[in-house]
Amino acid sequence: MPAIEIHGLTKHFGKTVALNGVNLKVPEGSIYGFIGPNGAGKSTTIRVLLGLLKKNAGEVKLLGGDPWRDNVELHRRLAYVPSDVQLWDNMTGGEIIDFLGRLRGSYSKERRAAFIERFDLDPTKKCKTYSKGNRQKVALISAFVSDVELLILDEPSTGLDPLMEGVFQQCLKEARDAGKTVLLSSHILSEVEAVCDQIGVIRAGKIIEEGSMEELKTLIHQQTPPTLEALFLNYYKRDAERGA
Amino acid sequence: MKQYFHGTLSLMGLYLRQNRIFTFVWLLLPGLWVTINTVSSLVLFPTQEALAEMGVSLIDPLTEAMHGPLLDVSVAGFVTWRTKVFLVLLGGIFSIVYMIRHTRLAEEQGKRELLGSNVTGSLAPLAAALVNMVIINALSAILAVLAMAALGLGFVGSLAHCLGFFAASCVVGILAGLVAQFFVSARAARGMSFGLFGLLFCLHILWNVSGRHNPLAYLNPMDWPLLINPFAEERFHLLLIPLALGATLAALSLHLMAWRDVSGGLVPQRRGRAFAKPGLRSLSALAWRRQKGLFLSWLCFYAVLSFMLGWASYLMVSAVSSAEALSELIARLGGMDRAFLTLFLYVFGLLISVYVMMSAGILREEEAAKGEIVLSMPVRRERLVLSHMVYIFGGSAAIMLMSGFCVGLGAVIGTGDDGALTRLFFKMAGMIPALWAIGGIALLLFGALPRWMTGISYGLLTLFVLMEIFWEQQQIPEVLYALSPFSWITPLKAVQPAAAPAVLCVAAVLLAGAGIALFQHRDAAV
Repeated sequence: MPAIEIHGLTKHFGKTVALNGVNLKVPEGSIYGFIGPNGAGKSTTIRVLLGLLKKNAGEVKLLGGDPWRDNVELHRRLAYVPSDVQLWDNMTGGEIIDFLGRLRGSYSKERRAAFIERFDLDPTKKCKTYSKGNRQKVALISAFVSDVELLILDEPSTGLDPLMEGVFQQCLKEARDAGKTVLLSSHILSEVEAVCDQIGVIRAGKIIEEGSMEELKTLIHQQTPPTLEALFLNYYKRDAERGA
Repeated sequence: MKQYFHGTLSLMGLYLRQNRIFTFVWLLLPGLWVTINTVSSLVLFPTQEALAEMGVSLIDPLTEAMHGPLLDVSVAGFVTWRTKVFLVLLGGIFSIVYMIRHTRLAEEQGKRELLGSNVTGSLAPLAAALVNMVIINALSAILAVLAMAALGLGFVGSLAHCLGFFAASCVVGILAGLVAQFFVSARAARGMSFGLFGLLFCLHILWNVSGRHNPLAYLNPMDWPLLINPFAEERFHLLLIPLALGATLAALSLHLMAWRDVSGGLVPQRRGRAFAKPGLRSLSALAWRRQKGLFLSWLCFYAVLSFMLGWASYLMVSAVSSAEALSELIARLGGMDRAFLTLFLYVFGLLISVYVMMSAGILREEEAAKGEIVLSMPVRRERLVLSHMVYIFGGSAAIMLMSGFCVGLGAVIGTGDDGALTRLFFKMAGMIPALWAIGGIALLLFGALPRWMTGISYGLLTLFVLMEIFWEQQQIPEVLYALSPFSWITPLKAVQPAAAPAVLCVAAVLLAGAGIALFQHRDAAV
């Protein structure tokens, strides 16, 4: 059974159509790379999955439940890292990691200590004084600390230095090896190429390509240079031409 | 020296381009207010006899507490006397909001960093905000002078009046710019500025009530429009005081700005706990973290203020009013000192409704800024609202009760009237349902129009206060006035409906319930 299954998802804000019939399937135990240009609908899709936004039409199944109706039950089984992490100014990173872990209900001191060490975070600093990368680390640690089935990560590694990027990718792989599912929205295509098993490309509120990394590999090799980035840019070009 | 201020002119232009509606209202409101007052005075007092009669009726301790003595019995004298307090409050509030926005708030949002990395001097952001604030105040004063002169009130007196509130507004704004240097958060800086402004206002009232002239009044901006004596042998040389005071405070704030780091305060940030306290595990605990600063500062502020008010009421015990219009009210409220306290407690009730809106504003802020994190946790949406409702409803009630208790305590000590404690405590308690109705309105807006909530809620509060003023002048019907929660508790009504608390509580429950239900079914507005 797929961890996430979406059929014909539509969402509009007033007259603006943000999602125009999204179809997407995230297999259980995989790392799914969710890519697309700015404003394509990645964050909107994710917010529907989290029950923050109400869909206008379509079918959405998350861990076998309805993300709007069963949100409390489902949120116990997932952890989320937003793209623009805003934290409580007068709380320290350590306090926030503890608080969010307790609220989610799955949390262990050992995992907390391990991840704080791996991400090299000073947990005694007030969030106001953290840099963007450090705020991102707080959110990432709080997500990895919880023992959940699904991680939803919206551009989680922006602001991380190359060393931390490596740690982050390692953590993702470990999560998959432990049987967890990851939905990773990202602009860093080298990261997607390195860790993802499945890829979905969204543009203007529609999925324009979906498939496993294995399938894409042959396509990637036909590009010059043979990278996911080149393939990705080609998709855009083709789609834009089709639109015109 | 010059390089510190490089780019000030460009920044002034940039600031003026922002928040144009805010600036527009700030520019026009003072002129509009004196115009409305002048026209209505001309209609109310068409003859010299009518004016003289009014002059007698205004020698009244209650009115003098607010406005000070009437200096000149004429339409011009009356208008300047009636409008000055409001004009200073208006100019001061706008100046504070403006200064904090372009200093501490801009810094908090990282705008100053962006500007500072460009070719601007390190003091330019503060200097530009200061100069703009003074210019806008000056323009609004000029418009008010022109309006008054055009209505035939006499140029020199009008000039003195407007210079008075201009100087006061500017110095309050400069003070806010100074306060902004001390606090790392814009909220704290704004709160402190308003607190200081409120303190100046209370001192002004206290000195008016005591009837003696206090030499310290020369240092209080609230008193300048009175001390400059508009239309009664104007004393323009008094303006040297605001000039010197303003220059000193501005120089001090620039000096501190140059001294400290960008986004730093004067007090360095301390390290915090590496582990959360065991109690920090629920939304209620989080709400306490978010709300406690606002709640405790309001609680303490009103405790002290109420005690001072209660104690000062002894000054009114032997005061006699000669105003016929008020005599019935005073008799009904049980004497001048009781009337004084009743009216002021009512004003406290109106002011504490601002706390209700601010507290509800924190809930909205939690949704807007942290909604993605909080609402993706296994929590029900209504739990988030309930955790903050404790402060919106319970917190406001606690502040009211504390205020009632302290005013009573002060009155017992000041006047020796033993019954004052219970009487005043229950008087304050009786007003709580009206604040709850206001809280209900805030929650309904939170559910229905989250992105517009802050603007509309403060707009509604202003509207309710204006309705009160118009109702007093019998310009709006009773039915319309009944829409304001305050109409159910105002001491100006001879008979308060017995059902008032029940009606207000039911309204609060319905409004809050509707707000929560709407929140449960709408998109999260992050």
